[in-house]
Amino acid sequence: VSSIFDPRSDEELLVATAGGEADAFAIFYERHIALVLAVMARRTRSYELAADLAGETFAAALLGCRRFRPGGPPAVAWLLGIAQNKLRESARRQRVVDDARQRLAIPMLGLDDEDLLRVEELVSDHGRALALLDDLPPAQREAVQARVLEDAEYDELAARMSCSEQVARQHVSRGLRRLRTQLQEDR
Amino acid sequence: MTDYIADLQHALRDAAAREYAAQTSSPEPAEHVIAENAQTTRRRRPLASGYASRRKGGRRAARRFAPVLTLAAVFAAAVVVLTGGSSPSILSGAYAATGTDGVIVHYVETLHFQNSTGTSQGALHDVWASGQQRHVIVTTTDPKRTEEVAFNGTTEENYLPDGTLATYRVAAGTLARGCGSVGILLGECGRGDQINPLIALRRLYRSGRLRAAGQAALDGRRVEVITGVSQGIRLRALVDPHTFVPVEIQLVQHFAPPAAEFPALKLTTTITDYQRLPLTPHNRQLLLMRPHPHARRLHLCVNGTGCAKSPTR
Repeated sequence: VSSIFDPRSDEELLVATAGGEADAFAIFYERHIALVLAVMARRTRSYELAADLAGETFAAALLGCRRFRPGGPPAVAWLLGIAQNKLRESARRQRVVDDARQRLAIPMLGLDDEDLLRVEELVSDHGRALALLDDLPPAQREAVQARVLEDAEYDELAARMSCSEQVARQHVSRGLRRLRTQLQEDR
Repeated sequence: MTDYIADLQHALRDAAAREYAAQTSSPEPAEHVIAENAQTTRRRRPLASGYASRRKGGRRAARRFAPVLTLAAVFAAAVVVLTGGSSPSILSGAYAATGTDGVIVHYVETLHFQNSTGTSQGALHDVWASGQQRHVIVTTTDPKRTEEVAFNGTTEENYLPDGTLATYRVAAGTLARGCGSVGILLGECGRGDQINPLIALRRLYRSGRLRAAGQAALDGRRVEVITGVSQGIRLRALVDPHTFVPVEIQLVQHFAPPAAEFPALKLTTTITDYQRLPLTPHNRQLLLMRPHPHARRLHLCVNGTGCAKSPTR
């Protein structure tokens, strides 16, 4: 039975998934579905699109988990990078992409009123779903948010933060490192 | 969890199982699987009028979203507060007030184990924690004994009632599964083991399972009530309405018997006397234990690298 209280780290869950443990991915999904929904809802301003894109993001994560390398950026940053790619690709094609779901033969699930209410509830508390980021110092939060959630280039990020590209990279790097530390503390 | 979120989880779990199985045969999903899944796709129920404006034109139109996304990108950096949801300030405030990064938190944790035969047992933990560091004084009621434990991220020290100081080296990040000697420091030693209520509160929050449940009175004091439920777990926290610092957190866990001859177990863990202390040099001493200088030392290892020898007890 999957549980958010599984003591394994996100990284360990992805490695276990790649090793064939299907439940490990279900736990990973359960831990981060609210975060991915919140990110998607912020970008699309639509709960339904957010739900579709979240499904595609996790499907792509499942397909890509063999390529995940523990020891780099935290798994949650890796996941948000996939989410960002899905958003960008969907915008380019002017439709919600579903390549990963098709490859995995995952059906497009319908949403009813109750589902939309649940999605709304999960994403409505911005602080809840993005709590990991909220814990970061302001500069690191801004840097990680811009780089990971908005896919900003470092030169753009540096201009926005009125600092050099090198400093912007440091903010992102330290922010991601701190995210991982916080996740470990909560294990 | 309503259908979509749970259905998606099940679909992903099934896909993960298929994907693993497929790697040993064919990389593409079998046709019968696609057909089977197509049949299980749920039909959409009619929408209530409250959502009509959000879903103009139905699903097909909704999935063409590039203009929406372009517009939304303008707002992406701003905090978008969508409507609905339950009292975010209380929940996010409680989440922030339970973090141990950059501060020392001190609390008293009372554990009460009760098995299905009616036998019960208790323990009291006096805990100081900061980041991954823990210092715990354990007092058990039956048998009555006191033990002191500290963990600094890589090494766990146990100062035992017989005057022994046992030092366990633990490979980074493995203590949660290795358990050290008594497995109390991180509050969980593996699946099905006890969970620290503070960690439970934070995980429930992050997975969207925490709810604000109104107000209550405790010793004549008004408090906000927060509840959360997960598999085998029920949490009820009372927090200060202004600072959101926990006044009391109670976590009830039910453990299934590991085998037919063993009883089921219910563990109730209650946190009280919660304090947040600044991480000053003086307060850092609270994270360390001070065993008697002549304590007999044992060096053990668990799950670890760099162990000098095998465990000796």
